[in-house]
Amino acid sequence: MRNEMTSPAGRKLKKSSQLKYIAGRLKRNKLAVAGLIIIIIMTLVAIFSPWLAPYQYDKTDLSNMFSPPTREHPFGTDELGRDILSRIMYGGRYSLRIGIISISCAAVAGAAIGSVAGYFGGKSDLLIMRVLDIIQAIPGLVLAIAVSATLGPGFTNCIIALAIGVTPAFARMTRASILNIRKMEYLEAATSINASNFRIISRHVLPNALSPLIVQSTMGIATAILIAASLSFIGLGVQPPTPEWGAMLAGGRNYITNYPHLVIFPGVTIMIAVLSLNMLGDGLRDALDPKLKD
Amino acid sequence: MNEALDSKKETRPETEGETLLSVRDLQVIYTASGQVIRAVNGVSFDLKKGQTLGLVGETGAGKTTIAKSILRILPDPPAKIVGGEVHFEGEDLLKAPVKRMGEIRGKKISMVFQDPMTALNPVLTIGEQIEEVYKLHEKLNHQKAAEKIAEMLEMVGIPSERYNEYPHQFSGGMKQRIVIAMALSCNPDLLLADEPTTALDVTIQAQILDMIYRLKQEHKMSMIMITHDLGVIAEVCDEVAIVYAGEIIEKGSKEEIFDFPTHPYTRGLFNSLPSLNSDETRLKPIPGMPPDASDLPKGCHFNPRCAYATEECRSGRIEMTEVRPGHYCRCIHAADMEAK
Amino acid sequence: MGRYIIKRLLMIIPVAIGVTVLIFTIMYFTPGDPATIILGSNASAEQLKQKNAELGLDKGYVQRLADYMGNLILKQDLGKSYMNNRSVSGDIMERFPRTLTIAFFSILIAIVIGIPLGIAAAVNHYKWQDSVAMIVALFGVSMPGFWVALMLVLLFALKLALLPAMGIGDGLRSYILPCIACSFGGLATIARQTRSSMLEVIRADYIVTARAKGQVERVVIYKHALRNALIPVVTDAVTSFGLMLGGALVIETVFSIPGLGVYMVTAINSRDYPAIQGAVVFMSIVFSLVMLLMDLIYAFVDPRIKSQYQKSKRRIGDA
Repeated sequence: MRNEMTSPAGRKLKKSSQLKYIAGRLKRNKLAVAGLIIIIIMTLVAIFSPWLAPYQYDKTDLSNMFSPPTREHPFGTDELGRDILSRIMYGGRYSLRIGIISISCAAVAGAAIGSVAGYFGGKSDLLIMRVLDIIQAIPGLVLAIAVSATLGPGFTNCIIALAIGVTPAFARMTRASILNIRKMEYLEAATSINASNFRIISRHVLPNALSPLIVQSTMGIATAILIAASLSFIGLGVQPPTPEWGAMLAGGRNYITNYPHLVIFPGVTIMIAVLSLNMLGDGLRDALDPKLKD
Repeated sequence: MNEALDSKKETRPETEGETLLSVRDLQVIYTASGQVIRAVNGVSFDLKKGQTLGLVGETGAGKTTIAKSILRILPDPPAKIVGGEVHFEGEDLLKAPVKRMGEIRGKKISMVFQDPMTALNPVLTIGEQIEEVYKLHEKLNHQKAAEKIAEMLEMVGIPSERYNEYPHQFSGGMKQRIVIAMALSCNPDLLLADEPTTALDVTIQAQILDMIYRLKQEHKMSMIMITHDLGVIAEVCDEVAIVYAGEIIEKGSKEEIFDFPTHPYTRGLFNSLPSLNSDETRLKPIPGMPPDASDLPKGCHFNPRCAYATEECRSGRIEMTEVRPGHYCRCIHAADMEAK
Repeated sequence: MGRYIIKRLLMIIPVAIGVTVLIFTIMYFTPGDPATIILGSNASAEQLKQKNAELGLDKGYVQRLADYMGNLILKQDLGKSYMNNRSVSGDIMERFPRTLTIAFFSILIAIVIGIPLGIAAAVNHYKWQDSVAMIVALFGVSMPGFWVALMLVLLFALKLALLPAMGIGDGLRSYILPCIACSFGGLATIARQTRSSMLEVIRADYIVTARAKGQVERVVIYKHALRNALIPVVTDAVTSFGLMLGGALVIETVFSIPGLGVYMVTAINSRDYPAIQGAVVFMSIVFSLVMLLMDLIYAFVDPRIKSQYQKSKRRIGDA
């Protein structure tokens, strides 16, 4: 579906000038640029952590447990003498991936479901919307807890639990965009030259519903990272000794009285990642909103 | 037709001919993303008691900005009044303290806006919205205010029992009547009517315009009528000022302007009107686009669109000259225009 | 209005049934044999079979679902805990008030601080107050609630020893830190939404009308602008309340407050499926009721919506 959206050359041309315009507006928003830069740096650090991290994330050092931040261990060490900085750098691989993968899955699934509902309308729309109503009647975190409880803890299961929870929001949004676009005349033009339903949805409708999806995805990754951390914290997401940030917090909470650095640094890291994504999301929303011209 | 207003009408002394409002060298700028847009560039005019001045010009010429400057209700930022004086009954409104302005707005000077659909607060009943004016300016209690509001509503043709309804329950034309009732509720000395009929259906435009004119006459108000419609001017105005790119480029009595339009832009305006009794089959639009207010042409702002522009028109500020008694025009070639 | 409330209440029923079916189905596919969980791995095959029959687990999916739904609807019974054979609905009703207390005071804090913060930011648009308020709010939405809770415990309970770090032994004082921690995200969201809708409303024509009437700026802001600006804030406040109910579950575990969150975590760790299922179904129904509340608030604050449900004599047309 993704490939379908960008394949025709004409579309690409039009999109690129539009993208340039949006990028220009985004560039003027200092917070958004800062957010983008930070999140890129965090991603790169996570990817290259095996080479960048000063220590192996799982290397224990029982002679140097609970070390406060020092020159050797800038963020200190944990209850097994593992270097917290290295664990945070590795942990990005889990935390960021959970956010990105779960939201990508949800966005693709949601866009597909929403397109079908919005484009065909009628009974299929009604049925889909009622099912979404039901899923959305369950608070996101509670649904994630229920799914995790069923599937069991773990990285993949955590992603599935999160994706199921956010899919309805994406589906609704896509449906709403499509209901708007459906009224437009160029769709009649496409129908009049006998284009197939699939072709109309993928080439005409979806690309136009894209900008709210992008904004929602950026914000969604931020939320997903937060929920994933919560799940890990109550023992349902990624399990220790995996250095996922929420799991690190769960591991460190018992030592908070005497060694607060075990919970401060992973928490600040989560905050910075989520903050950057939110700043980027805010900036994207403003840049894509034609109502806000200056 | 209306006792409350009738009684007041009599207390207003017959002072026709005295100057009520005098605007001098008004300058307003807008700042948007680092750019400075010069919306009003040294506008001056006088308005005599009981008279109606028409401000005519294209969209974006600065007419609404002039009116809102008088009441000082421009959004700041981005708008800023950077110079000039607005004398109202001898008082410079631009220097008046905020509290004093509050006493003047709605009481001495009222405004009717272009778009009635958005001019009323959607979450308050129309009664509540009109009542505010009475509570603010006449310190009436709820009971007294309600009686007055009923009178005002009937006066503009709204059944008074609809007092407790919300704006969305009225049509556009009715909303404009309500806005007018609100503006006139304290019997102001000056009414600023900002294209009050533009957003309405053609069939309703005439009704509303007639009503405004009638009420204006009955209450012996002065009025500034902002419009781009010369037909409206012909119907209600005594004096006319043509606004172009934030400047008044021609002003005089309605008869003068209609009979002897002098500025090429004014002439263009008349030529772009359909005329039933001429043989011409095609209208003559004014060529070109209104200028970009952030980058105004040097000299006469109209020169790029003017068929008579010469080298002189492209440098220096063009001053107003009296071309006929009481008829002023901002054009170097004004004297020879009549021949053309 | 009464008819509208009843209509909306009735609309919750199919959703609640759908949620129950969905949760039941998810839980149905959970691997693991409940009898083994209850009796331990030493139990004989005969004992296990008997236990499963006792629990009704030898029946098919449809039969079990029907039993579950029947008990829920007719007796408000969510089954019995595998661990201690206590009634799940009884346990939930005992614990939920604590979770609700946290969520309720949190949303109160969020509204009482968030809305004025948003107004202050909007009124001072382009000034430093706006930037500071919005950066603070941005941090607020970006911090995990449970981490904020940990930091508050660290500061106020462990370092300053001002407030209790855990339990509910100190009455309402025990709830201060949990509520503050839980309010952060919602507070920030409400402040951001209030600001942006205020900024939009302040530019509206009817605000100019109000000023042109001679209304003082304070009344223009608080009467004319705020009432309109708050309409979209209702959505955020109610959504935040829903999220706070969820967030309270996690924050409880930080403070060891014996609410629904601690109950769920315990149930999950001991694979007490009736308890998990019951808690999730219960939370979903509460959440649906909260959403109903949102619709009702909307109808109350926005006359355009209210009049749709009133049999008013709507007359449109010009005289």
